Order: sequence, then C-alpha cells, then structure tokens
Amino acid sequence: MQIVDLIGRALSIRAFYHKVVSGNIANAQTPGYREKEIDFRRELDRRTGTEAGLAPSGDAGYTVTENPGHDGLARLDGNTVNLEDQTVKLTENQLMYQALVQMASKRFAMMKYLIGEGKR
Amino acid sequence: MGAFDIFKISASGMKAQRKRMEIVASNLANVQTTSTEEGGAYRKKDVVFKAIDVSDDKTFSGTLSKKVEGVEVESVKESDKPFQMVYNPSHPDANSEGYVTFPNVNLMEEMTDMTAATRAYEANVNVLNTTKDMFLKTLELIK
Amino acid sequence: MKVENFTLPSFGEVQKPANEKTRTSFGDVLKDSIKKVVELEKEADNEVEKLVKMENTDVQTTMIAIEKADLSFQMMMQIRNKIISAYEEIMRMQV
Repeated sequence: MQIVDLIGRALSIRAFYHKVVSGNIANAQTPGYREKEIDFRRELDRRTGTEAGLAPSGDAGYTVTENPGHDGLARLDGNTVNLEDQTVKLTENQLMYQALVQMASKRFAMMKYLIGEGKR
Repeated sequence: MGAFDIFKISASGMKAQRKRMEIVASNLANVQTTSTEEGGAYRKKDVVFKAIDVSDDKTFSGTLSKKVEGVEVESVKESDKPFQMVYNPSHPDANSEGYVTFPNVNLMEEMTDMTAATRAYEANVNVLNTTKDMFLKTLELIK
Repeated sequence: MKVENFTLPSFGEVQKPANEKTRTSFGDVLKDSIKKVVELEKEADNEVEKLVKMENTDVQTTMIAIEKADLSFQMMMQIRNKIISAYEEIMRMQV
C-alpha cells in the first residue's frame, strides 16, 4: 500500500498548488503582484522516504517562490503573472489530480476484490 | 512527448496571438497619430512569429529528436509601407508644401488581422480542450 | 496486448500419467500464474510511481499497465477458486 501513500502525498501537494495558481489568476491585474510557484518534485521528495514527516503540515509547509518576471520583464505595474501559462498549469494540475484519484481508487478496488474473493 | 507538452505549445500559441492583438490595438489607436517621439507619423507595427522548442527535454538527444514546436513573437517590426499624404495646409503638422503625413495603418487590414488573431486564439484553446478530453478518456481505462 | 499473456499451460498437461516426472500439478499451475501476477503488479506500481513523480507523463502506458495487472489478478483469483472447488469436490467423492 506504499503506492497509495505516495499518491496521497502528491494529491495534497496538488490541492495546495491549485490554490496557488487560482490566486495567481485572480491577481492577474493586481499591481505589484508577483506570480507564485512551487517546486512540485522537491515538495514530494521532502515528504517521502527518509525525510517524511520533517516538513510542517498544512499550507505553511510548502515553499512558495515568487517569479520576478517573465521573459526577463515585469509589466509596468510590477505584475508578473503570465495568464496563459497559469491557465495551462491549472488544467495540467487538475488532470493529474484526477489521474491520481483514479489510480488510488483502482488500488482500493483491487484490495476490496481480494477481500471479497478471499472469503470463498 | 506527454500530454503536457501539448499544453505548452497551446499556451505559446495563445500568448503569441494575444501579443498580436496588442499590436493591432496599438495600430488602431494610432491610426491618426501624426507625430511620435521618434519624429514623424506613427508607423504601423507588425509581429514576427518564430517557431521555438517548448519542451522540457533540453538534453542534446532531446533537441535533436524534436519535431514539433511552439511559437513565440520574435520581434515587433515597423512596416516600410509608404505613409499617407493628405493635403491640409492648416494642420499643425503640415510640411512646407502643405501635406500632412498620416500613419500607414490600413483600417481594413487591421480588422482582418484582429479576426485572424481571434480565430487562431480560439483554435489554440480548442486544442487544449481536446487534449484535456483525450487525457480524461485515457483515465477511463481503469474505471 | 495479446491475451496469450494470461494463459497458462493447458489443463490437458495435468492429466498426464502419474509415472511421468514432468507432470504439472494444480499447485504448479497456480504458482505460475501468481508469479506472473506479481510481476505485472510490480510493473504497474513502477509506472504509477513514475507518473506520480512526473518522471513520465504518458498516462496511457500507466493505465494499461494497471489494467493488465488488475485483469491478471482477477484471472488468478478465478483460477484459484476453480482449483479449490475442484479439490473440494474430489474430497467429497465417496470412495
């Protein structure tokens, strides 16, 4: 069932990332707002293997970096949100979230099947 | 190439078309501008698109094998088309012969460009949505 | 994907005469299919891990690997059930 734990951690990270990207999109016109990003792979590594449990739980446990500017330039009002990229990231995150849920669900279904058949 | 490279390509397409729209908007706004900071009338601007590699695989073999690319706006060029000369001696920017140079912006051309940019933008969004559907369909394999 | 991946040595072989040393028993048949199932499940887990870590974004390979493991698992369970009921029926036979 180790794989289900891994899927679970990835789901938490993606749920948080959804908030980050939604915030970016909502602030696409806010002056001075810097686009926020997280390093998915790093966050996952921090929570699996030998480092599991070292990262604080909850939203504070994630390292959010700010993007200083796209293509080397921020717009005149200091906003660095790239709307098309954020839209695509949102879609990507949502699709992967669904894939993860589906895979975990399949694992559980296989377990349930085993339990059911084992009674015979 | 996974599904997410397609997203990057669509995103690059959307970005490029949006920049094109910005230029069209600039051209339309300045259709009557007879004086600019650089001197002379406003020159119509054009975007130059360039195909670029948008994939994450920046390794040598990765770039060798790339066959599909996204797009980016390489530069914004000023058009060399001739200005419109209008005879109007009372205009503040009239030259010694009484002619005023108006921008080489053609209204019809800009409107067509705008429609084309919109359609291209929509097409990119379509690609994104279709790819999303394909992905979700693949997930159904293990329902 | 060929269905042959799931087939086992046909039951005809099990009926060989008892004095042949190469006879395969019901137990061997089951052991064989269990081994295959474990292999497929390991492969599926690997693919899932790769997808979770985003090392591989080809969902279709992952989904197919998972479904292969699932189907072969279910097949093995059915074989096991059949073998058990065959055994029970034999035990019930009055000698």
